[in-house]
Amino acid sequence: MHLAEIDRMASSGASLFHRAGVPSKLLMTLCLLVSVMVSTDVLVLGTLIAILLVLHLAARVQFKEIAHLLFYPLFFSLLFALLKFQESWASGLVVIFKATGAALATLLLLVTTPWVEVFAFLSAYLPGLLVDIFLFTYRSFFILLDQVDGLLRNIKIRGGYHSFDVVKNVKNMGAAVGLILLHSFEMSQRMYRIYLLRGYDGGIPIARRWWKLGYSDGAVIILSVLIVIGMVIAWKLL
Amino acid sequence: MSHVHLPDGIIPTVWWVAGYLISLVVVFVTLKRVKAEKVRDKIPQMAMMAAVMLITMSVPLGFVPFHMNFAALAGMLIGPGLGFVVVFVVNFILALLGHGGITVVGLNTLNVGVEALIGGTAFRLLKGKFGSVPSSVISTAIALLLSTALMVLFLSTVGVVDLRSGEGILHAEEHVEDGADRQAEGLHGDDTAYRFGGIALAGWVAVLIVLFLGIISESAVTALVVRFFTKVRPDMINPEPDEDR
Repeated sequence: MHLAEIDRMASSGASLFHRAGVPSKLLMTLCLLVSVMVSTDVLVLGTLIAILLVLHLAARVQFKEIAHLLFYPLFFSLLFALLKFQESWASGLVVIFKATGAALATLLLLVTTPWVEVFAFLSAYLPGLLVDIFLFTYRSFFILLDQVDGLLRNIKIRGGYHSFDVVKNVKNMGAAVGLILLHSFEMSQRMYRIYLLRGYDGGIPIARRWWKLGYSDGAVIILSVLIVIGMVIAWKLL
Repeated sequence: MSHVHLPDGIIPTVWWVAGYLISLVVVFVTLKRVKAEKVRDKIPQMAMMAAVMLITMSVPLGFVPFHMNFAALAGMLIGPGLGFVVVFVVNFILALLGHGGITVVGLNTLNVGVEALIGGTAFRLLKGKFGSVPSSVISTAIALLLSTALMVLFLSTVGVVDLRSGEGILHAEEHVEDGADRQAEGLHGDDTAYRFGGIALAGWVAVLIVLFLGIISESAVTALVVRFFTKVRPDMINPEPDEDR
């Protein structure tokens, strides 16, 4: 999982997209997603993917950190594209392009916006308890990640991993997952008590400071409108 | 590991919108049903479970991107309803992180959430009779098999695959319409037409074999985790009877 790298890119970036507020970036993501989803033409989808790649470049995204993430949508869409390839090559490519395009659009949002800010915005519309789970998960993930790394290293150092002894590996994996879960549950109880002491009563307070629109927001909104207009013109031309 | 993540763009809009609505209703009802204080107490635990699932889901087992889910285990440890909520959270985060399927988060949640619902419920019903470890194997296997069956049934219902032939539905329709012409063309013509269908079918058979191997290995690991808990923290898998989960 490269949530840590994605989070670092989102927090430390200084591009136009990083400076823009969450609402304008969510609008752009929505426009891109709708464009990808409604399009059925392989050329239009190819153009959209090219635009998305340019936007990633403009956001100074380190491709080597996120490229492998696109392997999942590529692989799973390929399973379905194989069926569509019976119809035509274009139909199969449409399936692959749609899955990849949608993944690129959501990744662009996450590599330019810190996770907490996205859910701070969504907290205005989602139930408080659900938002709390998202925020706690984010925090827990980083706490656990280091511990899992250490545990896996320890297992290997102490001879708990054998390339050809699958049974022993599965046994050790069961104990390792159990240990991680046990540790994480104990940690969650401690975390809950700390939050109670700090006055937690359901609903983590989040500051929302993005209602002032800046130049970056204007640029992102204009870009979103241009993408939608581009799609409409493409439809009429076809 | 028991299912295929549905990617964006293959499911008709009506279905994925319905999937979102149904899964959100289930999440809201679950959170409303449990007393506020109890849920608040469980939130850090649910978050930790989600974080563990995210970490294990991000470890591909082999060269293809298959991974363990532990959705059934989540249902056993934190309860079927709250396990479903955790699955929603995990799917949403994975979709945002480029795992794909932002439009089908609802459907993927229903598909994987069934594992938490059935796995957790079956485990509760069976553990008194068979003991914790055997019950965990049976519950996980049942949950994963049902989830896989539901996914295949759903894909067949929306017309993505044809259960009877194992091919894409469009190919099957073409087959019916052009049946007379194909007969006239003879076997050679049929062979050409089926070339891609054969690859697709072989691909899906391979996927199903991997899925069944996945079901076996996830059931085994779940049983080992449950055995570990029975030794060190039996209260985690045998909570107080009145605990609202």
